[in-house]
Parts: sequence; C-alpha cells; structure tokens
Amino acid sequence: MTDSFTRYGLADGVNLYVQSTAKFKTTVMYVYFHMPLAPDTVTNNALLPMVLSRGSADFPTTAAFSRHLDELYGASFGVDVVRRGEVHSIVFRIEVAGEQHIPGEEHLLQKGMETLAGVITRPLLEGDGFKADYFSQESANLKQTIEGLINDKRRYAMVRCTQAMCEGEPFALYRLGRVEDLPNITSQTLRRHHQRVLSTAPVDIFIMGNVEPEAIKAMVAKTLELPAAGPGGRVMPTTQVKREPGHPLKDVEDRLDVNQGVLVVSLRTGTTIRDEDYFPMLVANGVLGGFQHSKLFQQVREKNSLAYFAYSALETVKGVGFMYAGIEFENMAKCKEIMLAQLKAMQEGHIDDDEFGTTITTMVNDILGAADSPAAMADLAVDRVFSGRETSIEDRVKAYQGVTKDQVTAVVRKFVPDTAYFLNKTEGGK
Amino acid sequence: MEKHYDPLLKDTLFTEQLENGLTVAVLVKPGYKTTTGRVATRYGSIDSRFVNPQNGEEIQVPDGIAHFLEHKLFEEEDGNVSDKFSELGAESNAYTTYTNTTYYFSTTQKFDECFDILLGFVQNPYFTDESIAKEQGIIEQEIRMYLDDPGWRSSANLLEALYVKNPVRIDIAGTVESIHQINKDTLYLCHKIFYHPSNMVVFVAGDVDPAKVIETTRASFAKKGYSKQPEIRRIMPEEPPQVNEKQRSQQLVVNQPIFRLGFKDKQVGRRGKELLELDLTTAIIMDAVVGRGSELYTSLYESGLIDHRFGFEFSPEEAYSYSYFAGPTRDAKELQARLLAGLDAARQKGLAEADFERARKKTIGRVVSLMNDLDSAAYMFTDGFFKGIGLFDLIPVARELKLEAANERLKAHFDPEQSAVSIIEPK
Repeated sequence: MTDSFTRYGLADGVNLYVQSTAKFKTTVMYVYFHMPLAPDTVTNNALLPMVLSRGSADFPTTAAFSRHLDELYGASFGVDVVRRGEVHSIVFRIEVAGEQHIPGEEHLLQKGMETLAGVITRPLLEGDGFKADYFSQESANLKQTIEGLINDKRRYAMVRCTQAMCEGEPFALYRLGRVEDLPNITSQTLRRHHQRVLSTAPVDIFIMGNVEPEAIKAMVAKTLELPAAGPGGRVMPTTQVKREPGHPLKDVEDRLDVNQGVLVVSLRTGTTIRDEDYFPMLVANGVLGGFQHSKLFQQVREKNSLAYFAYSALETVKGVGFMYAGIEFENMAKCKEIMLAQLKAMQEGHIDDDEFGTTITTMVNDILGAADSPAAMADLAVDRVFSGRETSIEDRVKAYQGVTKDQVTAVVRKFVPDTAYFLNKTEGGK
Repeated sequence: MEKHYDPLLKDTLFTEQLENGLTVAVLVKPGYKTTTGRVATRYGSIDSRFVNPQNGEEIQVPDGIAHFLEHKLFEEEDGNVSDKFSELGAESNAYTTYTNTTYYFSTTQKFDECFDILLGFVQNPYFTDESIAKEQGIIEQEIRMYLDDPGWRSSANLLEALYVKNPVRIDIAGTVESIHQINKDTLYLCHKIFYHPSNMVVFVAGDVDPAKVIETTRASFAKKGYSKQPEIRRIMPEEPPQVNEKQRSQQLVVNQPIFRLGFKDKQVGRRGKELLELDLTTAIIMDAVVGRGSELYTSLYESGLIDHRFGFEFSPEEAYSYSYFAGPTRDAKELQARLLAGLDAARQKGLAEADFERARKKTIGRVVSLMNDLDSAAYMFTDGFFKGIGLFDLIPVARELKLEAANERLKAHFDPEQSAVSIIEPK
C-alpha cells in the first residue's frame, strides 16, 4: 500500500485529500480550519468548537446529538484546537465503522459526514448568537480547562517554558487561550467569529477508509457547504521565526508544592520545516533526545540515574526545541549541565556510528508504521500542508537514509539554548 | 494449530498450545506494514504472596517487585535489550498492571530478528547488585512522578478506600521504601516461578506466516528445557465484602477538586464467558445511565458539575472488580449526591429497552474500531487471555446480552452501600 492521497481542490483555499484503503475497518474524516495564532482570536478559536459540539440545528440537544452518534454504531466524534508554529487550527473529526463490518447498515459514512457538517455549518442559534446556555457553560468549562493545565506538571512546565522563551511572540499563547479574554466574549461575538472562521480560514479535509475518491469528492462537495471566501480569500497564516535567542541562556523558575522537579531547556533551532536542512534537523533531535537510545535518555537516566523520563522534542514550524526531564530538586544544576553538555558534544561532532545508525533506522521504522494508523496518516498529510513539500512515506524514508553525520553536525550547530525553566518545590517544602 | 475466523471483523487468529503449556497466538493482518510481538506473563503487582511450586513453601515478596522485574529484565550481560531493538529500528517497551506483565516490540522491518530477541530476553534474567541499585534511583523518580499526577492519585486513593486487604490497594510500582528491599535472589526466584511458559502467552499481530511464528516460539522455548510446573497458587488475603472507608481525600496542586466515585463488587472469582458478560453488561449499563446520551449526564453537565473530562469504567478481574465515575468538578459533595441519586433512580426504574440497545450498538462499533489498531488488538488479546476470554468472544457475547440480566446487574452492583469516593482537593 502506498500513502498516496488523491487531492482535490474544492474551492480556493479548500482542499480535500482522500486515501483509499481496504485495510482499516473504519472511515475517518478530519476537517481543519487554519487560523492565525493571535491574541485577539486565540480564546475564540478554542471556545468555538466546544460550543459547536454541544448541539446543532439538526440535533439541538447534546443528548440527542450523542444518541445519534451511538446509533451510527458508536461513531466517534471529537473536536480539538492544535497549534503548529503560529497557525492555530480548529479540528473536527468523525470516525464511523466500515459498512462491510456492520451487516444491514448502509450510508454510515454519509450520515456521519452530514452530522459533522451540521456541527460545523448549522449551529444552534438564539437570535444572532449561539444558544445562550451552551455558550455560558462552555465558557466556564474552557476557563476550568485552561486553569487545569497545572494538573499535569510536565505539560505545565513545557507551556511555561514556551511562554518565557517566546515572550512578545504569538507562539507564547497557550493553545486553549487566556482566561482573561473570556469575560469579553459573548455568544454573539463568538457567532461572528464562527462566520469569520468559515469564510476566511483555509480548509483541509482528510478522509481515509475503504472509499472511492471520486464518490467521496462528490459527497463532500454536496454535504459540507462552506460560505464563499471573503474578499481577502483564504490565506494560510505565517509564522514568525526567530533563528537565535539574541541573549545568553535565561533562567526561569516557578515554585509549586510538588514531589518532583521538571527541568525544561528550550532551544532556538535556527531551522524549520520549510528549510533544506529539515531532515538533518529531525535526525539531530533523534540523536540528541528523541528516543531511548538517544544521548539524553542514556546520560540522564541510564548513566546517572537522575530521571525516569528524559527526552527532547522539536516544534519544526516555529523552529524551537525542548530538552526535558523529571528530577530530584537538588539535581537541577547537574541535569542542566548534562543536557547542555550533550548538545555541545553533538555540535563538536561527537556522534558515534551506533547512535547515528540507530536513529535513522528507528525513524524509518516509525514512518513506515504510520501507514497503519489513520491518525498518523492524517498528521503526515497536515505536515505536507505546512512543509509545502509533496513528500510520500517512501520519499521520507529516502530522505532520512540520505542524511549524513556532517549535515547533522552542521544543523545542530544552529541550535542555541534560549531558556532554562525549572518547576521547583515551594520554599521549605519537603 | 487452530484457526479462528470472525466473519464480522473479517479477521483470522491462529492459536496453539505447546507441550510446555505456553500458548502462542497469531492475528494475521494482511496489508499491515507493522508487526507487533508480545510476551505476557500472568504476574502483576497483586501477586506478592504465593506458594513456590517447586517446594511448596509460602513466600511473601516486597511490593512493586513485578514492576521492578519488568524494568530489570531488559538488562542483559552484554547490554540493554532496548538498544538491540533500536538498532533494528524497532520500538520496544513493557508495562506492568495489577495482574500481568507484558513485553512488546513493533517493527516494520526485521520481524524475525526482533522476535528472537523478545523470546530470548524474557527467558534470560541477568541481575547485578549494581544494576539493581541504579534501577532503584530510576524507579524512585517514576514513583515521584506519579505522586504529582492527580489522576493517578485519585485512582490509587479510591482503591485504598474500596479495599481492605486486597493488594490492588497498593501501588503497582510499590513504594520508595519497598523497592529498596528488592534484591537479586528474590528477583531470580520470582522470575523462575512466574516466567515459566505455562504461566505465559505469546501474541503476534501483523502480515506474517502463523506456522512460522509458532515454530520459532517452540524452538526458542525448547532450548531451556523447562520441566513441568504445577499451577502457581497465589495467596490472596480474605477480602471482606464491604468497602474499607467511605471517603478518602488528599490535597495536591490542582485547580479544582478531582472527584472519583467507585462501586466494589462483593462477589469475585469469575472467569471466562461469565466475566466477559459481567464486563460488557456493566459497561453498557454505565453508558446507558451516565453516558453522554443520558438525562443524568445532561443534568450534571448543565449544572456545571461535570465537563467533557468526565469518564467512567468498569475493571473486572478474577481477584477484584469495581467500577468508577471520575472527573474534575466544582463541588464533589453535590456531584456525589446527584450521581448516587441518579444511579439509584435507574435501579428502581430499570433501563429503557432503547437505551440498552443503543449502548449495545455502540459497544459493537467500538470493538470493530479497536481491531484497526494492532496495539489495541494485542491489549485486548492478552488482557482477555489470562481471564479465559477469547479475542473473538466480545461481539457474539455483546449480541446475546439480555435487558433483564442488565437490570439485575444494575440493582446489584450500584448499591450505594458498596460505594466509596476519592477526592483530590486543591492545595
């Protein structure tokens, strides 16, 4: 099987990607609306899908909507907001069982698609706003969810580190928005935001399953009725890339009453998904801390027994990276020193054949395995939208295998530590 | 080799039980690039007291040893097994639950080599005092990570409230103190007893030749020349039917209370089809009474007592079984009162036929969807195997369930007397 998507331009800025495969027992559909990540829209973008998914004109109560999904043999429906660089995408998803597995059932996909389209385009309105109760309940829920970030200490540390590193840049915004915006959003202003999303956001639709692309194209065109684009068209938002910190490593600390410290050292990578050395950059992260065989896990955990988790991760649209580990409070300086030393060693060309070869082999394995997961395939499809490259799985395998150690050393020399964030215990804590 | 075909899932499973007692199962998935291989042993954190089948002696081992052993088995005399998998481009990992330990890899490239490594290392313990000391440091950080995880603490506290003596009330990883009591000899002994082929299962899913998988497994286990081992007698303390305490609270750094309500089954010891019926029936009841399509869910949601993070689950095991409802809330007391009242009203009234049927449909659809994913299929297989449940039993059993039986179960299980709550409060 290949991962080739058939691409159809449904309208200017509205693209459909269909992958036909008999391997999966379900058909899954994702609809992405790409908005800029910006202070005045970030909270609206997060709140909108929460309100829309409470009910539509077709299914006016949450219970009726949910029962309808159950009747479609447990169709799974979800909404999300994701952030890639400074693009804030609102995502709607539905997955229905393939009809070949449910005897006597027909049109599950058509019904599923209609349900999804209803949520996106036929909201439940009261006057010129969304249903007031649903709006106020979801506004309260969003507040709690934003504040609930603190419940997950690792994610909290990553978000706080990003905020400290990217102060003044849109990338500092948390994907779920800001509590202080909520009092200024009403069900009417959110409805106007909805109309703005529908008419200005570029739309990418991904469908995977045992489907016939031409028939799907006709079904989508008929079922998902989007308004015509506004005068400015549907333009993909851009991301501000800062290639160097412009300052020495900055230390930031928060204190909470916790049992374990979390250290996050952020980097400006100097390279992004759109650059030529993108693939060497992915390999560099793999050698540094992407896997269990990588330098960070080996040094911080296996050799020095300092942590249970110790990894690195990249955000390739923005061009930033993070090295992170959960540690004893008193080991902060030691752990930071080890992390920075690993980066420095790579910059000096210390990459042994084993860790290099293992990284490439592991990355090839991961990318080949993506073909077995609808969610991973959708991710790759989105990746192509952001990279501007039509790269198939086979192309990526070749690209990884073509990366040389010299290229990795060259790209890793662009990595500059920006901010060291430490989630510490409260003073006098145990 | 036995062949099982499911006409609805259109999947084929091959199984064979070897002479040494080991079962090998292969789920053939044409067109999949990935193959996953797993070895699981019926040895979890609750198996800390047992009779040595070699000499009949009763043994009590430190808490957390099954999990510790899982970590340490990756270490071989010539290095860490994870590295060998990585060199082959495979992902590998393992997990320990209350009732079993599972080792696995997944690969798109060199299945045969990976499978040999997997079968080899689980049979080849290698422990040194030095590596045990190193692991104590790592596991201590793992334990500390969970001490800051409110979801995990909420769950652990509920189990402490529900159970008086059953070891499910003790953390899978043990405690910082208990793991320091673990030594080489105990690890070797536990390995010898619980990693006997008669206590294990091998599972492979992917586009592979099942006969070859079975032969490879047979050859690998033949090398060790296992002698027969009688079934391991696990000693579970006598658990009283009633709950240990009605409420357990803890303060952590969270933004709002995290609520968890549990119901403990009085009767345990079910296996096979009986346990599966109990599992599916209870899951369907919970969905019909408190699922998103229910009136109760709507009323709790619209009162701001729950949000989209609210969830529920039933955990049926041979040695214990309980259900829970959990999520962040603005008012734990009110949520508890309204959930108990809603469940009690459902007990009096019984389920509506339409709700029961809807939840049944959803269950069937979800099984179909889970079988897409090799990891989910593997999890369902190994989890079911030790309970005497087959992978293809789920849908037929779901289809046979009767509303009357569900209503009896609703009355019996959701008895407020059998409930306890766990609350994490903001510090």
